[in-house]
Amino acid sequence: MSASALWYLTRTSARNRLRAQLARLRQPRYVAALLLGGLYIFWALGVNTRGDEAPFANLGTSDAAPLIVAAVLLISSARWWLAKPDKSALAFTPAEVHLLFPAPVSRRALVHTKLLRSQAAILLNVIIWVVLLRGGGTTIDGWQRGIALWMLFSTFTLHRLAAALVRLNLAQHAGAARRRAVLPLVVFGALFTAVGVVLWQARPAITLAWTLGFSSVFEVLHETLQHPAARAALLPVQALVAPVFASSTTDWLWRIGPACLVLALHYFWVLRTDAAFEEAAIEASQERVKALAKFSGAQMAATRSKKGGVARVFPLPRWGHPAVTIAWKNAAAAIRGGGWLRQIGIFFLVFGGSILALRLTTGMPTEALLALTGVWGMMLLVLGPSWTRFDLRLDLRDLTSIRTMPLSGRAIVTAEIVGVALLHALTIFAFLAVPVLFALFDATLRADLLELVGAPLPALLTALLVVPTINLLTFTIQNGLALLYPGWVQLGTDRRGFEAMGQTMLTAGLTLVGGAVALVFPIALGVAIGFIARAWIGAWSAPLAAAIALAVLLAEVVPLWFALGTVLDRTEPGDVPGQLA
Amino acid sequence: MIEVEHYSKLYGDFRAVHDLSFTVAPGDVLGLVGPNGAGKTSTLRALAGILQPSAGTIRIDGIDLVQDPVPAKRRLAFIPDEPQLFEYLTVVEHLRFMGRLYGVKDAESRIGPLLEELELDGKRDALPTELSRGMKQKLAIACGLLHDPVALMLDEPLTGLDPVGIRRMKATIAGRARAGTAVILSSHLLHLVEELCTRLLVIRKGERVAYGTVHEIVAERPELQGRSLEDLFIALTG
Repeated sequence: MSASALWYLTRTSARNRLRAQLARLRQPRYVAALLLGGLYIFWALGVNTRGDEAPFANLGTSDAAPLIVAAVLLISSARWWLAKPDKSALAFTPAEVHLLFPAPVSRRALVHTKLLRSQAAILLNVIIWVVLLRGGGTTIDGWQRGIALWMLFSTFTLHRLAAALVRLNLAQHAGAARRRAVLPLVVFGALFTAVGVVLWQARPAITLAWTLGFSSVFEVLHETLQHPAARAALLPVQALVAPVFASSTTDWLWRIGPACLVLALHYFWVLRTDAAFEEAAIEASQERVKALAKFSGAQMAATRSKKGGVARVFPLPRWGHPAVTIAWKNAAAAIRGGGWLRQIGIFFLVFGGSILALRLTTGMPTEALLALTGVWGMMLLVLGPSWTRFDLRLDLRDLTSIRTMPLSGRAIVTAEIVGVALLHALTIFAFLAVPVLFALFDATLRADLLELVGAPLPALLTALLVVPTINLLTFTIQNGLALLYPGWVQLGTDRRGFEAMGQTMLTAGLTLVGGAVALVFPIALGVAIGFIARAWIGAWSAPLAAAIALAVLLAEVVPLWFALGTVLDRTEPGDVPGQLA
Repeated sequence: MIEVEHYSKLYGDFRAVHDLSFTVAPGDVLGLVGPNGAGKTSTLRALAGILQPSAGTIRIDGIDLVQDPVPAKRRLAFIPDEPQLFEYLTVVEHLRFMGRLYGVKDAESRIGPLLEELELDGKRDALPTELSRGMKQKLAIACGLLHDPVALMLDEPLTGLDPVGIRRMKATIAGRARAGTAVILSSHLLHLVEELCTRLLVIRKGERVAYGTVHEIVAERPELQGRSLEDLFIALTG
């Protein structure tokens, strides 16, 4: 009886959610995006079947990939066992807590409801990853990889839930329940230890490989994981991963069986882990409600230090356009709610510490240091805008307040984008300061750097111009997507979990592609003029080129900000999910 | 002065408000009443510039809110039923923020008396998470009053306030009206409406069913003579 009611709840909720999404298609921009997305998926899976140029196509043809991916997955799942118990895996919605927990519904039925609900996110991620890993001509069809990915994601969802239940039994119960929890802890502890020890022993080779590039790291990891202990520990995860990387339909058929077995074992394990999880679930649900409330009304909560003070924010400027207040408010949010300064500090220390350790232990050459700085710097530039969300993605959750402000849409959009671009530029500058600081104390490094960049002042000025230029562009794309598609883009500054992984990759991909296209003309013009000017002004031609690129880029993005401002003027609270119409 | 002419609001095919016209003169307090779903919030939000009217014009102090939104918004204040505050700004920082946003030159000298008037002077450095529901409501009202709006719109302003707070809030609203502010007050608390409002606008299913002073409304419906405001409300909207 209760099963049919829960099935009804799941079915109708999914149907209504779909209806709400379809209702957005009344707006032409959603239709246009859907058509473009549909055409892309059709092209990726139906036309471009060779898939050689897919973003991660090389992974599919690499022998090392399944083993390394399995190791990464196993190690990442260790946090569910080793870190603070992950009660969020048990979280239910407030309505479910209020209506289902007191109802005559078995725990098993509640678990099924939770698993069914997770399927929407899993299926969305399957589609995204099938497109990213596409390839039919040389390996397997999209649907085959889709099934394999579904099994992989579903198993990990089950594993996370099982880990939460086991740890709950261990912490809150006694007797048989606690004894039952010991076995999985021992088994998974052994698996983590086996892989961890093998990797730890190989750390000199891995460190050395870092200096030679990513492909070397890949090779060394593959070689390291051939160790019998690691191979044995990774066997169940590899069984899950293997069908994703199958080279033919026959190969896929051979590999799908063991993956099914691992999935089935996880399913029965979850069902048999009879933990009284209601109390923990209520606690987790309340924590989730609090987290949601923090950014639904005002995004997130600022907290006081142990001494009772709040983080100090620079004074609100008394000059300039009133829209400056928006950028100031967002900076206050980053400092007080987002722990921005703390994050920069940690980043600075971790990066600086890693370089120091590598230079002291392996004598890391300057080229390797610059390569590492370059890779991390590029990651910050490209992925940073997905993490640093103190802009419209924060304020759209509070559209009622924003719309009552005596500011035009274009002023708001400009302030939001310029503010966050500068904020993120400071993050990147703090990061870039690490090698510069090392150079101050290390004569060899200083000489190498000077030889590479030439005159330091023009190089510094170039960096000061290039970083905000790229940020302005990437944050324009991110904010544009949020404003044009608030129903599809995740808003707020909450920690983005597994379910948002695909969406994060999509927006990062769009930012990368859109940014690359928009940068072609500014960079080409800047480089051309810089090249010509080099004969007269030498190293100063670099900042000149950067200034020209910045000017051209501003000519591109300012009209975009104004257009987005018009969109903001027309956006009503009802257009944004979670706001009262 | 708030002037609304033939305002309508559609959500897709659904007509939330239809052909609503009214005026609130300086010093007037208009009580906006109606049953749940009557279109009160849609009306208030349109008057605050949050929603775009599907038809009609809204003027604040003679300025068209749709054609010229920024100057119009500079003259109005909207206090929603749920206080919308920035969790990472303290009480006094909220007021400095609003002062800068609305271009209030003497904001610093206004902040102290305003905090005192709303009993928030002891909470200057508190974060919103440290305030009670009523305190948050008071802060939202302080933010709305700092720039001396010519048009003030309040949606259920007494929610969460204690009896002393209610008395003070009523005095604040009446004081602002006496100073020449045009006030619109939406509330289900009919005794509050009766006590503070000079005129009533009763709407039902998005349409105006009565507008004027209680005497004027009763004059149009003699059968309601001598009945309480609650009876009047039920008779008009039931």
